[in-house]
Order: sequence, then C-alpha cells, then structure tokens
Amino acid sequence: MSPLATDLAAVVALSRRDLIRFFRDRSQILGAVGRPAIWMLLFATGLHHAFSSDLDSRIGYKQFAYAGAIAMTILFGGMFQGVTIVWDREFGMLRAVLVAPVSRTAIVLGKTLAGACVTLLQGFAAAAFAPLVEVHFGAFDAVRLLAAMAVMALAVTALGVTVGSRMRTFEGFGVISNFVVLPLYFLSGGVFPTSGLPPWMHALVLANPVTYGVDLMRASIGQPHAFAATIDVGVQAVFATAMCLAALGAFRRAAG
Amino acid sequence: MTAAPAVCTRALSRSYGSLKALDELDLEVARGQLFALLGPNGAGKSTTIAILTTLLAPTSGEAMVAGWDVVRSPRQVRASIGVVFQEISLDDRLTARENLEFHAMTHGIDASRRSPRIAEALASVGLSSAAGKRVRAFSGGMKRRLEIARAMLHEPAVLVLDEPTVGLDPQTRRTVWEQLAAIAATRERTVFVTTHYMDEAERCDDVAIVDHGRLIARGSPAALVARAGGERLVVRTEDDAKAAAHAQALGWRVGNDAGRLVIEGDRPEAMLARLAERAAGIREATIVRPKLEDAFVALTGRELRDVREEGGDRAAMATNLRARGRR
Ligand SMILES: Nc1ncnc2c1ncn2[C@@H]1O[C@H](COP(=O)(O)OP(=O)(O)OP(=O)(O)O)[C@@H](O)[C@H]1O
Ligand SMILES: [Mg+2]
Repeated sequence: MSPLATDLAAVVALSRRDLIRFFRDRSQILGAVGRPAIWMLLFATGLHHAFSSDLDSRIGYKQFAYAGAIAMTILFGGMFQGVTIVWDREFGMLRAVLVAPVSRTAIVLGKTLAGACVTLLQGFAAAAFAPLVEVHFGAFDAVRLLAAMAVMALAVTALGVTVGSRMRTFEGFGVISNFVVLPLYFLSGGVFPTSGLPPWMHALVLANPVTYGVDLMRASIGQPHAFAATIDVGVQAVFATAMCLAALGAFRRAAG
Repeated sequence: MTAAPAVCTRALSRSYGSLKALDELDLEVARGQLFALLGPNGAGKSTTIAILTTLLAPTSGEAMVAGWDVVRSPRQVRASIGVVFQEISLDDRLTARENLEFHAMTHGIDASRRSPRIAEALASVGLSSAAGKRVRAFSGGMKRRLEIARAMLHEPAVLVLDEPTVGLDPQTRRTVWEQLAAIAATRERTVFVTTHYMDEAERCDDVAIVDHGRLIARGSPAALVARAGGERLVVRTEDDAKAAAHAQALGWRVGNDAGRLVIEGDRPEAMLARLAERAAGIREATIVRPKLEDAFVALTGRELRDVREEGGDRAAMATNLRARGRR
C-alpha cells in the first residue's frame, strides 16, 4: 500500500475503533440519551413556567432552550472525546498507534472524525427530543439543523483532542475541560437571552464561536435568531478549521 | 533492501534531567540475527527500544534501524519494525481479531490479505478459538501472545520485543522462542529482544549486556560465558593434599573453596576419570560449567538495582498512610 492509502486506512481504522468502543459502552449511550432528556424535560420546562413572560414574546423558554440543549450535548460530548487520547496514553494503546507507519495527521484526523461522529450521534439523540419541548420543524429544516450540528461537533471534538493531547491525567483533563466548556456554554446564548447583558459579558458572548453555532441551529429550524446565516456559517467554518489545526499542533508536539 | 545492519547506534545518549539513561551506546546488530539485549533493571534497555521505535528522541548520538535514521526517517523506520512493548498495549474493549484488524489497517496490509494473515497469526499463538473474545477477558499470558502475534502480523524486517515472555507459561515461552528463532533463521529478518531470562539469551546468536546506559559486554553467549571462567571440577576426597598434588602434577590449576578442591582445566569429565585413577577416595565430585547467568552477574555485579528508588517509594507510601490515618 502507498503511504497515502495506508493513512486513509488508518483514519478508517481509528474511527471504526472509537465507534465500536462507544457502542459497547452502555453507560455512554445512556448518558447521551438521558442527559438531554433530563435537561429539556426538567430544566427547560421548569424555567419555561418560571420566566417565559420576560422572553421574546414570539418564543417560550422551552423552545428557546432547545438549541441550547443540543449545544450542551455537543459541547460536553465533544470535549469528552478528548479523554480517549488520555485514556489511550494511560493504557498503552497510544504507543501501539504511534509506532504504526502512518502520519500524525492521519491519527489526529481519525480520532477527531470518530469523536465528531459519536458527538453528532449524541446531538442527534438530543435533537430527537424536540416534541418534548414543543419544537416542530420539517424534514428540510432537520437536515439544515443536522449540518449545523455536524460542524459544531467537529470543532468541539477537535478542541477536546487538543486538550487531551496536552493532558497527562484524567483528573487534569476533567478540570481543564470544565474550565473550557462551561464558559463556552453559558456565554453562547443557549441558556439565557443575551440582550440586556452587561457590556463586558455581551462582548464575551460575541467573541464565543459557539454563540454562532447556536444561532445557526435556531435559524435552521425557523426560530428567531440574531445574525445573518452567512456570518454564522463563516464563523463555524473558521472555528472548526482552527480547532482541527490546533489539535494537530498539540498532538504533534505531545507525540514528537 | 539494503545490506545495512538491522540496528546501528552511534554514541547514542538519552538523559532524563541529570540521569543518563543511555550513555554513548554503540551497538550494531547484523541482519538475520537473533539478538538479545541484557542488563539489570534500569540499565537502559527500554529506553533503547523507545528510541529505536521512534517514540523517544535521543539527547545526542544517532540510531538507525533497517538502514533508516530514527530521527530523520521515522516513517520508514516504523514501516520496518514490529514491536512488543514491556507493558501491554492492546485495546481491551476490542476483541482479539479487532485488535489485529486495527493493526493490519494501520500497517498497510491490503484488505484482501488481512483475514488470512490474521487467522494465521492467531493460530500461531494458539488464540484461534479466542479470536472473537474481548481482550478484557483475556489472561495476562493470552494478552502477551496476542501482542506477539500482532507484532509479527505485517512481517516486519526487524522485530523488537521488550521482555516478551514475562508471565508466560513454559509451553508458551517455548513456542514463542521457536517462532523468534524461525524468523531469524530466514537470515532476512532480525529479532531484537530484551530479556532477564538467561536460558532465553543463551539461545541467541548474539548478546549485548548494558549497564548504566553503557555497553559492557558483547558477543556470542559462548564467548561471554568463557569470560566468566572456564569449566571446573570440584571434589572432596579422603586426602585432599594428595589429590591436589596429583592434579598439579597433571598440570591443572588447583584452588580451594569451602573445604573442596577446585580444579580448573578442559574437559572436567576426563579430568575426573584421570584423577580417580591416581587419587583414591573421591567422596564427592561436581562438574561446574559456568552459564550465561554467571557471566552476567560477574559483569554487572551483585547489588540489586533501583533499590534506592524503591526505598523512596516505600517511605513515601508510609508517609501517605500516616497522613491518611490522621484525617
Ligand atoms: N520517563 C522517565 N523519566 C525519568 N527517568 C526515566 C524515565 N524513563 C526511564 N527513566 C530512567 O532511565 C533509566 C533506564 O530505564 P529503562 O526503562 O530504560 O530501564 P530498563 O533497562 O528497561 O529496566 P527494566 O529491566 O527494569 O525494564 C532508569 O534509571 C529509569 O529510572
Ligand atoms: Mg525495561
């Protein structure tokens, strides 16, 4: 096989391996389905009744929080994919991968693609709870929503791989990933509306690429949204590309 | 393929802070050899392997595998080697077959050749019936055998194994060594193995002993054994003085060890027969043939290694326990 063919086969092998691992892990599947269900059913519905009067009158809190719940699933799910790198290092499997005659780029790509697939599946499960929060959309909108989710899943997974490449312990990974994920989530406009925030916080919201992902998801299913779709798509594309490059850089540096 | 040596290092050094794990190591292993790298704990064997397998950069010096420089051409080096690491490196959530499929795909084995190669490799280590079982449920020995099968799957030019037979039962150890010998017997492919088992090292064509990151002995097992002193006859007789005089008269070197005569010379069986002819009353006789283990101990000394570090660990653990107790 030529080096390129081997690299491609390696991407497939790495992706397949992580997908098999995901589907064999019942707790992960349960978490993927259970977390968004609880979030939408309890949190969103609860808050819906608490302060729907303060929101944009065109939409209730349940409907408002829908895209946020998907984003949350993708953020936590994607970030967590980075832990597979720490895991592989801890249990020796990474060394077996690193002595294979494949480029580091192929390894990062395989890990990131597999992680993004798993993350997207989790996002899928979250999105399927739409009826629970009385969100309705047609097939075409569903495809647009899925595309928006896919780009975000790729970007966030790459971020997870970046952090995972630099961490040596599970504990370290847990701490750092929470530090990264929580602000990205809270400042995305997915949990609370961003109008009326203090200026410093509003600036952070605008600087947060996840904001545009949430906005794009809203736009794709016909909900009120803040930015033009071209801006949302542009920011997401840059976000995903930058994160993939960061993942590659971090992995290369860590693996030598 | 070039006629370059399978492995060649020049002044290879690696430091961890102030510790020199490898200190100007010069090592050349010819192609087609069954080669063993020996050394006490902490001697630098695994460090050497990490560098040869491109996982660790040398601090200075250079290393070539199958004619490729490990720093400049890592991908070519990786394409030439099959590795068994000291620690298990399987994916325990996958089955044995899935582990090998993963390896085949990352080592450029064509899709059409994967299945037969995998079946063959599994059979060679007696794991055919466990192919569909998750590695998690494997015993330590089964995991090791699977790793050995994996390292050989893509028929690498240089097989590198770090203490591959630790924890294996005698039957498996024997089959593994038969396979390693068969690979080297092709005279095309090379086996580079580290081991603490001297009986295994004695089966090799060529042996190097390292200590403190330096090469301290090199040669065939027989040549190294010869350096630990020749064969000798140890006897206890009714009249040691008379027996010693006879032995000296025959031109043999005679010494004394714990009330026994130690007589050095060639072919101790013949010496015993001749001595028995002249000096009656031999009560006890032993023929001592030094083994590689004697040579190893003679060359590397008797003190245990890493004792200081282990002591440190124990002290740290005790402190830890005390701290917990207080809580
Ligand atoms: N990552 C590391 N950081 C610091 N020191 C290290 C590291 N890895 C190895 N060493 C040190 O380098 C020296 C050589 O270690 P190495 O693992 O190569 O020994 P070895 O010959 O394989 O020993 P063993 O027979 O116990 O496996 C030891 O003193 C070890 O403590
Ligand atoms: Mg070692």
